[in-house]
Amino acid sequence: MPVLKQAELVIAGRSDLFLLEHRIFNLSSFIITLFSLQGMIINYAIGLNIVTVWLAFIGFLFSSLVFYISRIKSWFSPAIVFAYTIATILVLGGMHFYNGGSYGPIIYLFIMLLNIYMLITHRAHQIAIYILMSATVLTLLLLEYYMPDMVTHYNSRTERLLDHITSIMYSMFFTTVIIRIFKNTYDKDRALIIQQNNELEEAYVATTQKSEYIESLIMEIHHRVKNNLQVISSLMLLQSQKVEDDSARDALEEGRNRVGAIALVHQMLYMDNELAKVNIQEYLNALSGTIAKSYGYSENNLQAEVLTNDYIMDINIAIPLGLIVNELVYNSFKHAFANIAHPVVRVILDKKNEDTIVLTVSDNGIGINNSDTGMNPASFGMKLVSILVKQLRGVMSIRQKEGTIISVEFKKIIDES
Amino acid sequence: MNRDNSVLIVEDELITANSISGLLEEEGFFVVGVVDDSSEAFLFFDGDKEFPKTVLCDINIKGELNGIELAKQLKSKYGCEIIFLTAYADNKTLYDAFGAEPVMYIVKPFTDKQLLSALHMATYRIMKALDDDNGKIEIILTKREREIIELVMQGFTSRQIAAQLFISPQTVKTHRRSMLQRNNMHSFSQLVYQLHK
Repeated sequence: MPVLKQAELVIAGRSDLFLLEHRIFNLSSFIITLFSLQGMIINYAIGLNIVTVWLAFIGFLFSSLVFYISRIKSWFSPAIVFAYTIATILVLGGMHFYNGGSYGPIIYLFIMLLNIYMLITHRAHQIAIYILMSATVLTLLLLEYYMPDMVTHYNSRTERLLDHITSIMYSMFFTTVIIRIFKNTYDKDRALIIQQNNELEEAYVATTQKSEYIESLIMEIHHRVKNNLQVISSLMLLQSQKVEDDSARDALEEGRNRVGAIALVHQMLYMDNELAKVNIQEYLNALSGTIAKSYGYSENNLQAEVLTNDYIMDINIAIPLGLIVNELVYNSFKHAFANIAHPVVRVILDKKNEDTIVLTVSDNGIGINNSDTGMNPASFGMKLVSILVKQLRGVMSIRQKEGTIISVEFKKIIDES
Repeated sequence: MNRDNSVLIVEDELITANSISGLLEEEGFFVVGVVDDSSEAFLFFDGDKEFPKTVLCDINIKGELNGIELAKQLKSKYGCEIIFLTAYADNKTLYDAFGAEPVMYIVKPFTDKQLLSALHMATYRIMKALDDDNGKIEIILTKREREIIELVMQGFTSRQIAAQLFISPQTVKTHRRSMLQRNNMHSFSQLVYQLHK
């Protein structure tokens, strides 16, 4: 019925401009205005008491004012609903006695209005409206019981039935319209919510699948890197098993250790689930522990301490740093400790200032000057160290004091320029 | 001859497999074979042959079964001890692998020491499971020989031991041979087992 739909739209207002409750209120005040107007005319025509005509007229005036404020001025608030409730109570309360009291239809109108107010008021105000209206109805009936003279009876059966037909037909029609609008809105909202839920669900599944796929790709790459490093290490082992010359075997063994130092970074990367960062404390502990043990020394012979607060280090710094530590600790264990009773190697990472970090590797060994080839700047190990220090844009210094102390200073963030 | 220290290597990276095989043989283990396929692994459990006692198993291998499934079957059917050797270190793989009750789960890249100490542990378990004799055999060892045994059990290679004790690798091997002969033991694992029993 497009005409009715159009009418609803004009009277209640567009749903994108007015809230559902506001639209219902517009519609209610309009219908009540019409009802009062019709009541005024019919009461007059039937020949009911003239007071009923005046009351209907007051109702008509007040309702049209409310409709004007609500629909035209778009003003809707609990205060208006309350004022309107009070006004209907006063008008209908008066009418009750002039329309045959409990023989008339006014009580039905109260029940209909209660339904409509319940639909449009905020939950916090519903109980107040309920109490107000049921107290009114109770008061009316009690007044009628104790003061039967207040009631003006109908002049005839026809008059009473006419009043009933108009009022009750009106109530039924009004209730049906309002509830249909509500139900319609509810169905639309629910369909929309279900649709949005489905879309969200699908998006969620798709995102999860995508992130699982990405995670599996990353895992696969990590797996590949570690496997390949293993193959490199195994290649060197395989060759060293066939080589007779001791220095060649040593060189291959040293090469394996360096691959091991890099591999350890990759193991720690994945275990910590961080993509390109490593916990430098754990890394240095594990690395120097591995070197010490491979020379038959225990963890007592080694102290690795990180004194900075930044435990998390970028892989671009961690790998050269690890290789430097590898060479220096390896040198100490290999060359410095002939005839030393309690050999100790200390690896310390500390910060000099906000952006400069100092790595210190010290031992209580026999010192550079006395050692064989280890600390010789021409040895491959030390050459490697100086290359890596350069890569870190760092500065290295070597001191002798009850052993050897080597420090490397470098910036936390490597300056690319 | 009873081989308590026999090892089957299941690894699809054959360079890695062969380097492990060389290392284990140098350290006195008996490598029965190297395979990269789950179905090939079962060939070693056919017929009257002696079954390999320890299986060193990668997880990502060729064939129908993955390493974990293969290990579970070999363990339940033939009582093999399992050592996993893999580059996977994620929790899911780890939990799956626990199902095979391995002696050790080694993450690649590994050090020789990790591998050797795991194998010593596995062989010790095998000897213990087979041993029905409660009698203790008296083992005669020199101080030097005891030192060497300790280092071997920690997983050091003969070469590393030689470097630590400032002797030649050849001398370490001579020591190892002579302690087996003197105590009438057929393998180093047996000697260690009797010593710690």
